Formats: sequence, structure tokens, C-alpha cells
Amino acid sequence: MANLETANPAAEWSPVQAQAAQQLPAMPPMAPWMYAISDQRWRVDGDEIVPDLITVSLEPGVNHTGPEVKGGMGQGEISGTELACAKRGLRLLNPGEPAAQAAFGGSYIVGHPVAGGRVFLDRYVRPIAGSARTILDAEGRRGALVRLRDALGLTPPEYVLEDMLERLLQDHGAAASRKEDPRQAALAAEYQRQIDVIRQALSPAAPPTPKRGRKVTEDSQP
Amino acid sequence: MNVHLDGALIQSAILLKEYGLIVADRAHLPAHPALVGGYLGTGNESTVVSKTLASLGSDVAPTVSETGAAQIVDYSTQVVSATVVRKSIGRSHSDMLKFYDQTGLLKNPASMALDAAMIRGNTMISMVAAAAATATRDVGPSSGTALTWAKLQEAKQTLVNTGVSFSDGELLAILHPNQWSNLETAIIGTGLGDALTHTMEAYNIQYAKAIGYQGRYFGIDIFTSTRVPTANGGADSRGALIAPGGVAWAEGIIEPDADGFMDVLDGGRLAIERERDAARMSKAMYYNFLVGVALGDNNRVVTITSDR
Repeated sequence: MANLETANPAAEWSPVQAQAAQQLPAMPPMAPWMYAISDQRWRVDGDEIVPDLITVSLEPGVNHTGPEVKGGMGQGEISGTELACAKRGLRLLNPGEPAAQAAFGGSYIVGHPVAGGRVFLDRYVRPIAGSARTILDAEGRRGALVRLRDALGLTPPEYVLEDMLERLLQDHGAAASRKEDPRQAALAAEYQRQIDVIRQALSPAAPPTPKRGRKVTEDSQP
Repeated sequence: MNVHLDGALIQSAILLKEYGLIVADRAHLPAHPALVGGYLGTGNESTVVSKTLASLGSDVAPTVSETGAAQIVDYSTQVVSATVVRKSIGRSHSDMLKFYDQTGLLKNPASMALDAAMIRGNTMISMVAAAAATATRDVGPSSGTALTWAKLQEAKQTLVNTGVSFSDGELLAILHPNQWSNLETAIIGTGLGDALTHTMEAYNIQYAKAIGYQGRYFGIDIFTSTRVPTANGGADSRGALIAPGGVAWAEGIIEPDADGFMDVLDGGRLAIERERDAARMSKAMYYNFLVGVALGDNNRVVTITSDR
């Protein structure tokens, strides 16, 4: 007869977790997108005037994007999108083109896994696991936009800067009128800083400061 | 068309009526005047539907002398178009037990109709927000700054300055819920009282709560959606204010299939198709509809960028 103890030895037991659940960002999946550049969209970022990039969704059915393509991770057929953007004067920025690669240090769009698919974010944006919020590397992104602007030779038209200046002056006036509120005071200071950046861009180069010295007149006697 | 196993048309008729009530609701997005103004018509899957917009009524007749000839003034035209694609989503077998019992009898047609209508409505909001975000004019406080009512009015003023004409209730704003929350916060302490804290019509529209309709303020119907695109590297949301004709859209009509277990609702704009799994003694459900959205007249859309 078999020894029951050896046949069925007691053993410690603990639950087996075959695979730990992956902590994913709490965001809905989305289709990929591409940046587009318009000469009418600019903004002040820090001390620089950088292009305000337009996000063109490549979701099938939006912006003339066709049905989903295989291997595109949700991307639709983009030939119609390219035509529509060209017709409107938007320059679609392919993430693979050399200027974009050099400016952003790689592709400017990165796909992150979420429940049900992927969410596509800017290269300088990091999702937070378990949350719908993101962390932006503002300085890094500003540097990328400045490099992109310089690589493509983009300059804001004067009328665009003047329009931006007018709006900022209005916003500054509204914030300054309520400067007893600390938040409005801080906002007024930020608007003033942006106004100074735009004025610097609009004004021609200032004449050199005259040096102090002995005044010499035509009638002076040696 | 009904091909329920019990052979009766009653269940389909109930579903049709329930869905019809929802699409007739004033908050049903495709029926909003701002989108009706950009409706292009119908097309098949993967086709481009186009329409030519003309500047009707935009000119003033000059004075002509007694024997003078009137001057010909051409319309300024713009072709807007959208590409129609199929949008489809399935509900699991287990979920469908909430609507069907094991014999295939539809238990809760009202909830099922609401589910289908919400999906179509939310899909439209998402697509309209994505298309409108490509407009070239923007208003917004500084990046990372909360949205204010003054900025919303500035967006409206931007449309006026471009010569866009509209009346009360013809403007549509799609904002991120945080942008809307900023607006609600801005009301507090302003002394405006109940005038802006709520609108009775928003409470009275049952379907409104389902798709984020917040009410009409300053003549603007405000919808909120978490799918409003981001801007500035995700730091901000890019909502939009849309006047009639600013966003163009087209749809497709689905014909019922005698071989399929399907209901075609709203004149073919939504098909609900069922698939029976005998092993599980339950059904899966698929909602199919054809739609395409694109930016229409760029001058009729203003994006609103503020803290997300």
C-alpha cells in the first residue's frame, strides 16, 4: 500500500499569478495624427516665437482620410488628407522627413499602449500609468520647435504678429484691471512678457547706444 | 425590416420608434443648425461627397443709370467635400444578455436604442472636434491658462469680424470637460446668479445628458467631449466654435439585407446586426453606420485653446 504521506505530501500553497496586469494610461485609444504647419498659426513659447502646429487626425473618415490601412495602427489612407491640406495651404509634416527627425530627435509621434489599442502623443509628452493626465517636457519641445522653425526657414508674417499683439494687449488690459487677484496679476505679467517678445520681433534693429564723451562743436577752439 | 425568429414586427417597430425619438431630440448632434449647414448628402463607403458653396446674398446692388447696363457679379464659390467610411462597433455576447434573453426576445429596446444613438452621437462629436481643430484661426489664453467667458465671446467676435452671419442657436461649441469646468468656475462669484448656472432646456432634454450637451449660453450651444484634441504637446485642449458651414459632413445609407439578422433605423443611417452564438445561447450585436467629416469653410470655425 502506498504511503499516504509520501504520496500526497503537504505543501505550502500561494496563489499563482501567471502574468501581472500591465498598468496602462487611462486614456481611450485614438488614431494616429500628423502635424501640419500654417503660416498663420504662431505662438510665443518662452522667449521664442514658434509655429503653433496643427494636429491633423488620420482617423478614417476625418479630414478626407480613407479606410483603415493594414499595419497602420488605426491610420486611414492619407492621400486624400494630403490633397486637402495642400489645397488649404497647410504643409503636412511627415514624421519621417529629415527636418522633423533632426528637430525632434526622431519621430515626433509616439504610440503608447492603452486598453483597446494605442494612444498617440507628442515625443515630448509622457503618459502617466493609471491616469488620463500627461507630463510635458516644455523646454525640450520648445527646443524642437525652434530647431524645426530654423531648419525649414519659417518666419511669421508681420500681419500675423500684429494680430497676436493686438489680442495680447486686450488680454493684458483685462487681466491688469483685476490685478488685485494674484492669478490675474500673474497672467498680466505673462501677457506683458509675450507682448515684449512680439514687439521685439516687430521692431527693426534698434540704433546703437551713443557713447558718452566730450562734446565737440564746429566752433570749438583747440 | 425585421427577421426576428419569432417572425413578429413588433420588436423592430419598438426599436425603430425608440431610436426615432432620440434622433428627433433637439440635442441630437447631426440635427444641430451648425452641422445641418454643412451637410453634403449621402455617398457609398470610401467615396468622396462634394458640394459647392456659393456666396448667396452677399452682394449689394449698385445704382445703375437710366440707360446703363447692370454689371455681372459672379458668385465666389468653394467646393467642400468629405470622405465617407464605415464606422462599426460590436457589443459582446454577455453584454447583449442585458437586451436579449436566451430565446432572442428583445427585452429592453429603449436602452438599446439609447446605446446605439449615444455611440453614433459620440462618434460624430469626436470626428467633428478633430476636423474643426485643423482650422487656422484660434483664440485662447496663454498656454496652460483656464478658459474664460471672455475668450468664448472673442471667438464669436472673430466670426463676426470675418463677415459670418448667424443667429441665436446656430453656433456650436465643442469643448473639453475641463474647459467647460473652467467656464463654470468663472461664473462663481461674478454676481451673475442663476442666469448662467444652468439652463432649463438642458435639464429637459433627456438625451442631452448622454452626449454632453450643457445648454445654450450667449446663443452658443455647448457640447463637451473627452475626445476634444489636445494642443501644445498635450498641455492644452483645442475646442472649437463652429458656425453653419464650418464643418462639412456626409453619410451613407445602408440597405437592409434579407439574409441578415438586422434592423435598419433612421432611414438607413444606422444598422444594428445580430449574430447568434448557439454555444453561448446568446447574441453579439454590431452597430454600423457610414459617415465622413471634414473642415468646410475655414472662416466659419475658430478653435479655442486653453488648459486641459
